[in-house]
Amino acid sequence: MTDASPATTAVTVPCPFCALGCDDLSPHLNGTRLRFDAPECPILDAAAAAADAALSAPAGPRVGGAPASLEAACAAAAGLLGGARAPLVSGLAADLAGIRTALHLARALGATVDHAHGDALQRNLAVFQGDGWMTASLGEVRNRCDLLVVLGAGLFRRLPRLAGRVLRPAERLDGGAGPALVILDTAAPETLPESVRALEPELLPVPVARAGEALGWLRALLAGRPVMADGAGGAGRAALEALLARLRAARYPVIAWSAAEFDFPHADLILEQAAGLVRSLNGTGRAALLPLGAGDADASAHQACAWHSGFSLGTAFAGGRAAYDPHLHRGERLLAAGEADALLWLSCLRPDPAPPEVSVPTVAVGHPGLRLAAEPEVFIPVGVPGIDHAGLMHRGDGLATLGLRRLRDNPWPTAATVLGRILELIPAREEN
Amino acid sequence: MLTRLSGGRIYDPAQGIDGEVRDIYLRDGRICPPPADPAMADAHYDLHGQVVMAGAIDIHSHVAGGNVNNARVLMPEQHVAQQARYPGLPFGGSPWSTFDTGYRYAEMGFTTVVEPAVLPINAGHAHAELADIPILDTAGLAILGNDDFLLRLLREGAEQATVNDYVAWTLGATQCLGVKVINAGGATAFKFNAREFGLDDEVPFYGVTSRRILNALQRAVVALGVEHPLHVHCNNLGVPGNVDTALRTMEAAEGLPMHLAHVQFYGYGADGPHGFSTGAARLAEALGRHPNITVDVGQVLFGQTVTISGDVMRQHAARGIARPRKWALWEGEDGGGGIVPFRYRAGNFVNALQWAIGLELFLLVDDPWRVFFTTDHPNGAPFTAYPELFHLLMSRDHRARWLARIHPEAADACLLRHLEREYSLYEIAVMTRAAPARLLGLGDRGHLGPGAVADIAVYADIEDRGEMFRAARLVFKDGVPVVRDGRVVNPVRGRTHAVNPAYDRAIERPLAAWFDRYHLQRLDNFRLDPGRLAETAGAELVIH
Repeated sequence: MTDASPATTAVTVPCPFCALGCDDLSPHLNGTRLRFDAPECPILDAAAAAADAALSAPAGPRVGGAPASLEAACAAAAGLLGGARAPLVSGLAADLAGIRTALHLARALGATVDHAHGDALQRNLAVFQGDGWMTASLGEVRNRCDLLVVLGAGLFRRLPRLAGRVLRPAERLDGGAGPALVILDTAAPETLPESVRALEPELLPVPVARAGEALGWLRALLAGRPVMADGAGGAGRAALEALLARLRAARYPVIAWSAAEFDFPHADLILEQAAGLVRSLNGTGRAALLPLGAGDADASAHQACAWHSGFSLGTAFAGGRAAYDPHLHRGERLLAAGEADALLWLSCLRPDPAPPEVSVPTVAVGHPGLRLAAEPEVFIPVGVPGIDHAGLMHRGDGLATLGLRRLRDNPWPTAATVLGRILELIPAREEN
Repeated sequence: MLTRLSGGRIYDPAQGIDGEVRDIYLRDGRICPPPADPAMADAHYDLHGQVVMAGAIDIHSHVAGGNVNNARVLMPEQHVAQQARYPGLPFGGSPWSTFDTGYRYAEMGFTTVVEPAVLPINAGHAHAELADIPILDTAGLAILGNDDFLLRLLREGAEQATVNDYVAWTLGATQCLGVKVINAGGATAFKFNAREFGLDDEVPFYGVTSRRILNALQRAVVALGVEHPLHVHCNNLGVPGNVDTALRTMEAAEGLPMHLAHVQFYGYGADGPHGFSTGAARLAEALGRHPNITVDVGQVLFGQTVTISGDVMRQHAARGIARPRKWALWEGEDGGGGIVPFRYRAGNFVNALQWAIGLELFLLVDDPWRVFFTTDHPNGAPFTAYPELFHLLMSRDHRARWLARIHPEAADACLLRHLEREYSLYEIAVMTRAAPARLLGLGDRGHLGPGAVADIAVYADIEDRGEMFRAARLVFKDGVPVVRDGRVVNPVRGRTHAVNPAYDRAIERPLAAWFDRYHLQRLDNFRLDPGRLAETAGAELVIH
């Protein structure tokens, strides 16, 4: 059964465009133009505008820059990918059906799989796989957290409605008003979004790159170790002692971050300090982490890859077996080192993430308005999940799934359909 | 197409057939009556000397859902070095994938498996994963009992009819086959920093006891006519002396149907020099007095595994025994869970006694219709260890060999030496086929009578029962041969079974308001629609 008729304006629908997964959008269709009655959200506004623009001049498949039929484009993609010796399947910014078909295709090709935000994902995973962690879902933060410590103010830019939806809901299960907010960042207060400033956050001048020092200092103090330093990571002793006192006094403090804000080597060691601090706080009290990724379906890509391969992304299917090595199989590294000889880039949510500028032959299956720095060998536009077709996608915390709806008539196939057709056209390889 | 299976020895307890040689005919995915002329068959399998049973059914195995999936990711080092087991099949080189799960279950002759812990907010994910388990039919049990809506209903003294409507709504919204309760109220109590939680303890803030939650859910399941009884993970899992908890929970059932899951983990006394002793005899005796109660065992087998549970309080308490030394806990809307890797060792007194207690339960409970074959996969052992468990149940000699190897004090402290019983093939067929189908309300399987789905397992009749059940000679799924000579030959797709009991839709008004007030999702977006699940997750639902 297909979701044949576009959702009416009577329903509210979920949004796939950031990790927060709001589902209170009321869509309106005026001709072909799509509008949402929802509190202002720059990410949704941009995504809706891009979807509108795409439909005003609908892109079709192209091979070598020239218009081609869908079937010809799929055949060209199958030939290109099937002829490669070490293809990379990445991007994976799609709904679950698209991601799952991409995984089947990668398996059949003996390809390596990664996500556009694979580095951020692996940063969190390194902590998880090293020592494990204790986490809370977005819903738990909304209902029970009474002190939120955010590592890096960029989180608020990535989740524009975090303050309104999660930190200051109209009602909470515990009857409270919402958490006090502490932000570790050197940003000036006036650079914070208005919705965040309204929460009167305390800004500790600790840059994300030095957050590990501050967190380690807190852990040491909590463990009763002698701490000689007069502060750490840019924060003074008094401020850190005050923060520790608040963490100990809170009923359910939560430390949150987006791993994308920690884009530098060995950043997982910083996040590990946060995990350790939360473990210690749970010795006698309660606390949790809210470790988020970068959005663009990274949670769905990670989860689906795990149940298909037994491992997360950074997995290669060469030789007929799943081989996990997030360092060796890092997509960006494979491309830079010349160890991949073809790229399939799947990105159908927004014009970004765009395919990387690479010299290897590229098949781009994506948003009709996908931002292309150079014309790929094959480009196949597909519908946007949650606007052009129904789909399932994880909320950024990986727990809830969003039932995305089809909101408008459109000419594009789904990513799953296109990738499924390419898969059919790939000659079977014995070893895979 | 008509298929004839001739000459096999049939074990079909639902029809009282105990090893008789009979022919079986299949048509259009179902078992059919014999035709007038056997020569009419289009295909013929000569099964002389082989054992024929319905496809096996696992009522409690953690095969899908976020908790399971995160456990996969937690320990890549455990399966990173494994080689491809099924070259040529989709994801046949992916150890511990959903695909591998389907292939390995099918090879042992299993055709239906129940995931017993679907947290409603994670149900969409669980269904997507279940849909990617090839060959097997599946079902989920929806977790209730730590959900704030129910706790508030009970605090406010709501009528049972309201609870019934809410439970029915949940089953439809999550597309599950039954209701599971995990340490009723315990996960919520843990959110309020409680570290212990017993049957008569009150959930902080809500002031309702675990017993009250259990009773309300059990009555709802009975009132709604859901075939599968309330599936209960009791309080105090793993705690020495917890056999009392299990016995009190049986009493709390007040004669109504209730299934107690993985009771081995509740078969513990607190006697002896180590403060840990077998309570299996007490449990078995109590089961004799409570014909309304069924149990599955959750057998422990030695080796590395990972414990996966929605009992977040218990998993936090167990963090110190994690091997390797890492563990993960999460809390979410209406529940939580934890992942604690563990290695059961034969030379460890407690582990050895856990192993013995499970076997004692299997052997002391003399009604195979009420004791079910599980390891609580992967908590007691991975399901791939089932052949060893069949062997232990069916061979006293095999048990004796192990008794000489386990921790000597444990071997002396248990009753196992004195239990001579060996399961017969007929009893195995009861425990793994006929009884599970009856317990789940799936009347079209677990037997070989006309009209049943043609899910059939054929085994070589060899003395080593472990080897026999490790690799079925032939397995049919819906009449299609999917395994030959112990190897998957056709990775067909399975279906997922669910119930949608009727309810008074008036409950949706307060529920919608509740979601608007306390959830990040609205009611309409929370509920799973079968058509949309098929389209977006590839899930083919069968609603009973």
